[in-house]
Formats: sequence, C-alpha cells, structure tokens
Amino acid sequence: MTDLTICVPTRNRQRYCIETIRALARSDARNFDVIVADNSDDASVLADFFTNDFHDERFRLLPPGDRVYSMVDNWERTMPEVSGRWVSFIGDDDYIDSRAADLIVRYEKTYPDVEAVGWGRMAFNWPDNRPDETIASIPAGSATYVSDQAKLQDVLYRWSERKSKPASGYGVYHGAVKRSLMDRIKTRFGRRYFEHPNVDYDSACKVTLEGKRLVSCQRPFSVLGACGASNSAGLQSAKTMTERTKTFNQENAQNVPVACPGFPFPLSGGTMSVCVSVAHMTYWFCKTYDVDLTGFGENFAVSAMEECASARDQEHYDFKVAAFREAFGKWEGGRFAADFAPGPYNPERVAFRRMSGVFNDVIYLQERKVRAQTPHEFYRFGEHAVLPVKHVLSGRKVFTT
Amino acid sequence: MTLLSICIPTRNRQSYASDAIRHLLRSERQDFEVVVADNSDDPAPLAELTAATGDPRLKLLPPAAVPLSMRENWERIIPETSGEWLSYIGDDDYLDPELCEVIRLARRVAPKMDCLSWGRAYYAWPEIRQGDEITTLPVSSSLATFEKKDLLKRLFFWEKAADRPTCPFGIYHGVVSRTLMEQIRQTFSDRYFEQGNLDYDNICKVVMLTECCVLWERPLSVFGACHASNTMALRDRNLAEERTKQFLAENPDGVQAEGFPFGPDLGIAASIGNTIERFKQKYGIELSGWEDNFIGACAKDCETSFNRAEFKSRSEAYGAAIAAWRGKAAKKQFKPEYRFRPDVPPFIGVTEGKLYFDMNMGDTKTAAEFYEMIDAMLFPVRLLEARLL
Repeated sequence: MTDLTICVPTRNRQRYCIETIRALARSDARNFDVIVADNSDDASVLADFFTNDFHDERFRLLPPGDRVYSMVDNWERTMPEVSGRWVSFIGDDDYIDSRAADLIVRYEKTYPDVEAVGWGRMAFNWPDNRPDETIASIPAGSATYVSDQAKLQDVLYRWSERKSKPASGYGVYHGAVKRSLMDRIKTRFGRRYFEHPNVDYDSACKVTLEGKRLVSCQRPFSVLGACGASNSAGLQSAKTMTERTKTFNQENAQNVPVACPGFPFPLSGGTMSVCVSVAHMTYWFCKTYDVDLTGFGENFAVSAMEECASARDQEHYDFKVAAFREAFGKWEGGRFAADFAPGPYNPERVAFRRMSGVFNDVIYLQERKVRAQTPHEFYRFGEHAVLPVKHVLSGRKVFTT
Repeated sequence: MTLLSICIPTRNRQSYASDAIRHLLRSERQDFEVVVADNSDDPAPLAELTAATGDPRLKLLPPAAVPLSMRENWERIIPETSGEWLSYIGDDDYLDPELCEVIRLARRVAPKMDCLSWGRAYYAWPEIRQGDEITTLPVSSSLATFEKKDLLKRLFFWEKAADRPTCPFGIYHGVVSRTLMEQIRQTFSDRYFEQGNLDYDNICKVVMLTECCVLWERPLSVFGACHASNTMALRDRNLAEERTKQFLAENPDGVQAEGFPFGPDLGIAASIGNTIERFKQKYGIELSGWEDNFIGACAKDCETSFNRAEFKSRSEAYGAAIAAWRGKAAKKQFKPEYRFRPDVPPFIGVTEGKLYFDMNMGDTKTAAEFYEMIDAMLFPVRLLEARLL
C-alpha cells in the first residue's frame, strides 16, 4: 500500500492537466500514486496521452463516465479508487510536491494519532490569467504546529477571525487526510465523502470536526494554480465570476444547493463573492450537522465589511454595501443588521491589496516579473526561499545565519 | 533638468559595466543620466556600446592617456554630471532608476534632505559562488530620517558596528545632493574624494555636513561581487594581499593613520578604521570612547574567516595591533570566536527582519537581473507615495 494517493480531478482543461501530470512524474519517489479523474467532454485527449505519450505505473486515468459529473460527484467517484493510506486532491492546474508523503510519514512517527496534515501553499496565476497586476505568494515559514481544534472550529464555523473568508488549514484539497478518517467522514456525513459543491470547504469542515489530531507545516508543499479557465480565475474579473458561478450552479443542480436556504445572501449581484459562497457552505454545514453557530452572525457582518472594502471604486463599494445591507435586513429578521456598519470607502486599501513585499513570513511577488510559466516552475523558484525539505523532515532546529 | 546622475567608474570589466548600462537604459524615465568613467586599457568595448545605444542619457568618459587611480577616476566624474542628485555604484553593481521617484517623494517628507540611502542587497556573480550561497533582504520598507548625533555615533563611535560601521549615508549606494557634494569639496580639500576607502571618506564628510539624512529600508540597488571586484578580497586572502598592494600603490600619500598601528591588509575593519582616523586627524576631530566598539569590530572581522588557520593568523595580527595601540588591557577585551560551521546548514526563510534565500533563486546571471528578481518581491516604489502622504 502506498503512502499517499494524489487525486487530480479535471474537466476540459487537458493542456493544463497534462502539464501537471508531467510535473508530478518528475519525482523519482515510489511512495505515492496519482489518479487523474477525467470529466471532460472529449475523452480522447487524456486517453491518447496515457496510451501513447506517457507511461508511468504510478499514474492511473479514470475516464469520463456516461454523463458529465458535477465537480463534487467527480471527486466522489475518485475516492473508492484510492489505494493510498492517505489522500490529497489538487486541481488540474496546480502542483504538489510528492515529498508531502515523506512529511506525512515523518508526522506519523511523532504523532501516531495524526489524521490530517496541512502545509503552506504557494499561489500562482498562470500567464493566461493576469488581466492586470497579479500577485503570487510563497509562505517562507517552516515550523510545525499541532492545531488547537477548538480554536480551529471557531475560525472555520463561526468566522472568529472576521476575515473575508475563514482559513481552511486542513482537508483533502492541498492537504492530506488519512484514508480511515475519510471513511469515518463518509459514515457520519450523508454517506458520501463529499457533499457540498464547495468541495474544499466541505472537506475542511468535516476534517476539522471529525479528525483526531491535525498537524500542519508552514513550509509549502503545493501550489494553488489559477489558469484562465479555473474557477479561481473569477477572482480577477467580475464578469468571469458571474459566468463561472452560473455554470457552477448548473453543474451542481443535483447536489446540495450551493445557496443555503435561510441564508439570504445572493450568489449574484453585489453580494457575489468568495466570502458569501464560503459562508453558504459553512452555514449549511453547521445547520445540517448541528454545529454551534454562536457568534457567527456578528463575525460574518465584519467579514462582509471586509469583503466590501475590497471594492474597486466608490461606485462598486456602494453597490456591494447596499446589497449586503439588504441581505442582512432579511436574515433572521434583521438580527445582525446593526453589526454590518461599513465606514467610508478607502481607495488606499485597494491599492495596497495587491502589493508585493514580505508580510507575516509570506513573500508576495509581482508575477509579471517572475520567469516561471507553470506552477511547477514557480514551486522550484519559490523553494529557494524556504527551508529545504530534508531539514523539515529531520526536524533540525539549528542553522547558521 | 536631470534629477539623478548615476555614476559608474570602471576599469577592465567592460562586460559587467555593459550589462548594468543596458539594464539601466531600459528604464523609460527621462529624468536620470548614466555617466560612465572608463579607466580601461581597451576603450573600444564601452565606446562601441555607447555608439550603438545612441541614448542621450548615457555619457561615456573615455580612458585618459594613462590609467588613473581609482580616486582620480571617481573625481573626474562629478564635473561631467548634470544631475541635481549624485550616486555612485560599482561596475558589477546595479541601481534602480526609480530612485528618482523615491528622491521626489522623500523630499516632500523631509525638505532638507541632502542624502538618501536604502536597504542593502548583496549578489555574488555566478562565477565566484562556492556552491549554494545564501543572501539576505530586509523585509521592512519604512522610511525614516536620522538625527545627526546618531549618525556620528554609528560612524565615529562604531556604535552597532559589524565588521564596519553601519552608517550607509554616502554617495556610494546612496544618493547625495549636488549642493552637499559641492559643500564637501569646498569645506575639506577642494576635492570630492580625498583618501583611503573612498566610500567611507565620503560618508565621513556627509555625516559632518548633512542637514538631513533619510533611509528607506527597501533596497534600491545591488552590491555585486565578481571575481575582479574588491569585495572578492573578503573571500580570498591571497587576493586580499594583491588588492592591498594595489590600494597602497594608488595612494602615494599613504593610507595609514598616525598612531593607529592597524595595517590596511588586516581586514575591512582596519582599512576603514584608517580612513576614518586619517579624516579625524587631518580635520582636527578628537574623540574618545569609541575604542571598545572598534575592538569589537576587529573581532567581528576575524569571525568572518572561513578556515581556522586564517582565523588564527588574523586574530593574532589584530591582537598585536590592539596591544601596540592601547596596551595589554585593551587586548584582553579582544575575544574573537571562530564561528564558521560548515557542518551546520544555513537558515532559509524569514527571521529578525530579514529574508534569507538561496542566491540561485530565479537563476539570475547578473546583478541587474538579480535586482529585477528581488524587485518583484519588494514593496513597490509606486506605492510609496500612498504610504507617505
């Protein structure tokens, strides 16, 4: 049995997917395998690639089914194929360092009951997804943390950090979860591994509630890529985001509704945002599985103000504020309406939002000045500013400066 | 009017200088000029480059009939410049022309500013690296004015010194107003550059005469080190001896301060110590209470040694000089420790306000390319105005 199975669900982005497969195959390690779950309209591209151009027994292709799967269903069908003791999912335009498997083994020795491992994630926009000045990031820390789960739950379910979205440090997406924990999750939550269309947060919510011990490493082991065709590319353009949201909702019509009943923040118009999308997910999870939501209303009101503050100009700000205000008025009889009290628009915040520099041990870079063309190239570039994996694995603490 | 003159004295390192020039002229700014003082044996390469660029922002001073000393090559540049502000870099270094924008903004915050400096970035050209090498960048980007008393303490009292004073306010990898440089010339010796280590000769004079010094912690230039650079002597003792001979030959008036028995060949602390002492002696500046800090800098200088034998010989030489200078009691304070630990790996990441990273990052081949790479991860110059005002 291999240590780690890396799952790469993909749909109609074969060019990026092939690039990702080739990047993963550069590793000589034998303690991981890869499942590519193809959900594309044209099955031939990846099938031909696996038949004619690529031969690596560590990699397996799941061909498209007889229907187009929703994203959550494509993830779901991958799990029974997993043979690894641990499992991790990445997007087809992302990258993961297979030495994440070594990190897991290392943590298992120190923390035998560990069930989820998180790590730092670099972020990179492919060159076709840079409509204006974009920023890549490299977490430069390397410390190990055993998480305080109560605090983690407060952050994730009740938005205690009051940011525009809660941190999701653990889960199968750009993290690793023990197979046995995934099976318990399936037993406890809806007889499925993944339920909500917002799959990464769905996994994070369940792992955070059900996992026994969660351990994270600040050092990055993967890259969140965003190509022009990715969902996250919507962040670069409101028009793209509207289109992607519409498609996303259509594809998930048979799954748990993207919009949670009783949470009147539309996934369109002025409230359309990652903030609201994630809020629907975490709110749905807490309501469905009876998780305490005390404090969420007040915290989310501040998060909503943070979201509004990211508006590109005064007009956009007014548009967003009005939409949120209307929604808060409707939610639970206006119970949290007074907590949503945005101040005047501050254009400087927008200017500084996409800023290069080193803040809180994370390096932010202006991507157009970096030569890397793919997440793998960016990872190799970024590794020059983070501690070598061998030192993380050895637990070395003494260095020269 | 030209706001900034970037001055590059060079000798027989045309390929390095050419790379810096090409990158500088890629800037679309029109408010700076590049003045190159070529002191090479072969004038052709830089003359051809200048003709090929056809860029009026580039001015080349061809070699004189005979090679000039470094001092004379530096000295002849300023009369040929037109900038309101002047900065010098080595030919294996790089400086961002966006410095013009920083000058403009800093003057709005500190109208009396006559010297501006910035955070340090260091780059070893690939041909001199011994395996993977780690370099650092300051992660802060604060802009602050300095009080004169603090500058005096840092320079003349060696306060907070490493193996050299931590006072970056001078024309070399800093920028000084033309007004202040003219004042320096008129006040001291009718010359812009006078003796010893020219960068520290200039810092002494800037510190004495400045009205306001400003430091932006964000790097705007790169200190390059190639095989032929003086910095290389810090890595290779044989080369250090050779460079010291050249240094002595180029300074016929001597480089040794009176009553200061530290030969310039001892190391960087001794060499800079002589420059500062000669300045003080010539211009009648008498200070006491700086000696302990200087002895500490001598120890730190020894601690940069990469092998034990070299460490021992340098420690003995410095120790003998200290004993001859201030007696046995002073020598007792001199306690260098051998710190080089090849068995302990270098740290990479962020600690104590610095980013430590592998110099191979981005696979850059020149100092200018290295600057472009680090510029991508530094606070953007274009946002300085929004931060300040």
